[in-house]
Amino acid sequence: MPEFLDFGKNTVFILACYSASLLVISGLVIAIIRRRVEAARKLLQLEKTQESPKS
Amino acid sequence: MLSYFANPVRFQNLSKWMVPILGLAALGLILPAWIMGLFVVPVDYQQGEAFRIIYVHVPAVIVSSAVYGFLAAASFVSFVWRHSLADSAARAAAPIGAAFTFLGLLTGALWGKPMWGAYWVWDARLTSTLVMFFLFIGYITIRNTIRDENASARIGAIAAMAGAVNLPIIKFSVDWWSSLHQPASLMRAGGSGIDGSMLPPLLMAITGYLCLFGWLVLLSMLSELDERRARALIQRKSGRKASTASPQMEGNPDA
Amino acid sequence: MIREVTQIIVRDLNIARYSGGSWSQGAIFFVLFTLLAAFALGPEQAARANMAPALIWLAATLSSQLALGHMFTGDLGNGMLDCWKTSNRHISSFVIGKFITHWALVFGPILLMAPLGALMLGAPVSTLAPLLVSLLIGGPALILFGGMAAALTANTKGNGLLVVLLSGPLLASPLIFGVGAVQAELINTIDLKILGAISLAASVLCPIISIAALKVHLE
Repeated sequence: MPEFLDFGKNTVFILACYSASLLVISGLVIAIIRRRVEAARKLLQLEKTQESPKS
Repeated sequence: MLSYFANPVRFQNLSKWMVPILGLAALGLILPAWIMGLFVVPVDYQQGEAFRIIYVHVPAVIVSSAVYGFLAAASFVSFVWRHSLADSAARAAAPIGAAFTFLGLLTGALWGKPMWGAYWVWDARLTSTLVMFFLFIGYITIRNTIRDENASARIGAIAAMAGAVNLPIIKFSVDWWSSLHQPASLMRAGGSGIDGSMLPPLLMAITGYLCLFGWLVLLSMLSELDERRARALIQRKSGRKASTASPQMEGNPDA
Repeated sequence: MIREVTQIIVRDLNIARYSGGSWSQGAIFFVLFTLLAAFALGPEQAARANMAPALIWLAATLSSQLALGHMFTGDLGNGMLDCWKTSNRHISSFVIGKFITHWALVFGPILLMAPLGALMLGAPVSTLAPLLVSLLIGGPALILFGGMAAALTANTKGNGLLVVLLSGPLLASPLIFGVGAVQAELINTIDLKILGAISLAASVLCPIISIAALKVHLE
């Protein structure tokens, strides 16, 4: 373990907290961004294939 | 004020600005706060290094109850004025709130072990946070099980408001219960003697989590708007096809 | 209003009479729960006796919730509630009637079985009276919270577990004060008063919420 990540006897708990937070938050962010990209892409595709534009 | 933002187009224009600002603010606040919390802030003389957990625990807990308040308020607006945007805000907030509550519980447990020697105690605060987690889960389940959009929105709003009314009652009960069964001195983490340099990163982290929540809610709401539009386009297309092919096709067999 | 409520009660009691005893399933679950709890706790008498009030309350809570899944689904599905509304009757009287019958049909048998269950678990006879009083006072809250969850999910098939999931967090309060009231073998009056307050608050809140939910389902 690198020197700067050594927090004494409670290292495990501290690192577990920070990594769990990082993991959950980045998972949430990735899921929501993917949904966003997917929704925008699908809508664009549908609007293109629409033969007659909205009157 | 409310009706001004009720227009989806206006909402989209506004969110064009808000999304990058909130996203950058979240990143620019949370990361430095964590780095300062981990490497810069001096060691607390009572708690030692374990004190550093405060920068991931407290923001998650505070923001998760703020999210429940947001969910209840958005549900109220959606129920009374039938705002579809308020409903998508409520729907978007629930999973984020559940995730933050989960993080608050998890980091609380991991902080509790070195501090009190136990991962979990049936302390009033822990227990009511756990109850709130289940309220979030219940709301999400309702939204996902009721297929009809309108009914799902209205029933979800009722459930969220019922939960909000009950939350103080539950909090009071749990307080009462734990004051009878638990020694009161367990939960003095952090509160006493905060060093001057410890506070700024904490405030940064809390604001950062709030910005993160706002950013994620806006992104989810925009996705839902797009998905609704896509569904409407598909429906219009299939409706036109059906009406030219045969009139009997129009009825939806699932309905 | 009162006439409409009695109509619902009489009708539901008649349905229950000819339904082949499905209303008693809650009580049967209650007895089974205590039986299994006794096995889980092991043969030691003293440990079981200590836990008996808490277990009886837990059994009453769970069995009442599990029995409430169908509280509104039938009447919503077969159009009875539509007829009730179109014939210019109040949904509120329907809901109140439903709550009263379900309290009688679901919680009544549980209440009768409770002393038996407590004795099976080895509770001292002196705790029986406080236990019954606390169940009598807290029971309405259990039925009301469960019924509210049942109304919210009334248009979902197989909503039994969903009801437990929704009402579960809210049941923390009656459970805390219900068990608290029984402890120390005499009726702990403060807990009992708060338990009564919860039941009263629920009897205002839950019917209103249930009515709102059923109106949504009727839209």
